Amino acid sequence: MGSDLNVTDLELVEKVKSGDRKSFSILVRRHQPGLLRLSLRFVKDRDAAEDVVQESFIKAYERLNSFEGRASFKSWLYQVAVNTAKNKLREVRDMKDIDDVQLGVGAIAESSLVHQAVSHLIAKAVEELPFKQKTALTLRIYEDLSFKEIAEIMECPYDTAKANYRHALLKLREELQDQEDLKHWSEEVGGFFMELNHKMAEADI
Amino acid sequence: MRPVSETPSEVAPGAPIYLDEVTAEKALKARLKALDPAPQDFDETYLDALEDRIMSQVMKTSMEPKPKPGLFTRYWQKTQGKVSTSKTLPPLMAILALVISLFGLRPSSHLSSVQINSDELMQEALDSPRSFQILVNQLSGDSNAGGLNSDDFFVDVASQNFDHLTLHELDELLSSKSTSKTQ
Repeated sequence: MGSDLNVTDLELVEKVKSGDRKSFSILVRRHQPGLLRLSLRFVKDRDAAEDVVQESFIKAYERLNSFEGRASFKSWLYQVAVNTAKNKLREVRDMKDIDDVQLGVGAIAESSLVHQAVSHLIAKAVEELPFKQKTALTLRIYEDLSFKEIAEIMECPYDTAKANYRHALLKLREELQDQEDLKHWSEEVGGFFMELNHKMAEADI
Repeated sequence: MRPVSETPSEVAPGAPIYLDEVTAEKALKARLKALDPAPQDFDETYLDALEDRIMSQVMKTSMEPKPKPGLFTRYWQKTQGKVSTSKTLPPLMAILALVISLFGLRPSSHLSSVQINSDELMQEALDSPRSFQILVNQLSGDSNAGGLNSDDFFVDVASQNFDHLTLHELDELLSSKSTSKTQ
């Protein structure tokens, strides 16, 4: 297993292309946690997120011959996942109550009530962002990706990816500033607002 | 210039903090991640089970063939980026010849027709000074053959209509023309 770490994604892709199907399982193991986290941002429900991950890997395997290595395999795979999640979201949008789903996810990690309330408000604000802005924000904040990678995943120019991210931050700030409850937040949350404000000023938007 | 703090923790609670873009984004990420309700880690057994499920589906799936490249890409790959002069020169020359015949011959045919007209008019010029004037205009490249220009044309048209105008209308027309010229 340790030797798997030394093999790059591109080498594994070449192996799979030449018929070594088992090498694909290394790619699955390597990228499935990230893909699962990403999918959960969009579809919220864990079962649906698993479906997105599974579907994305199968699509990636099917189309592996069209992957030419211009972008990284991760970016390409995330691009497939974002598109799959987008389609899944369209399917489930009318069938699920978003608030119920969010509470279900929130219950996994939260301990303090204040923290949970703030967390819920942010999750809701992120949820209400337009799909492109939400994608850019999620990939940047939660997946720590560069704007180059985000642009590859979103299949858009670098500047567009950056603009989507900045507009997402701007909208997030507007949404959260309107919340009366947030005025009594802890210093930690207050700091978050100040940073958002300064980020906006620095970014000149 | 904004003051830049070393770390966010140095700032007293409630005091305004000024951060450079990179530091601000790092702090923002940290705060948002701390408030993130989504799980960051997954149970190994859970991931193993998901991987097995994915791989069982992958085993049943066949890979699509490599998409065929376009015509130009195929040609480029075939020649490996080297342009063969003996093969590409004849079609290139043919295309060039076609372009020249389509666009290049037009001016020369126009010139020859001018030449023919000039010869004919030379004979006529001997008999008529008016024809000679036309010939001079053609040879000097003046497109207004016959000595007429656009102003002459409009004067002709206007003069035909002046008879029907009242004195007042004529005054108005002349004053508007003089105004437009001064502008």
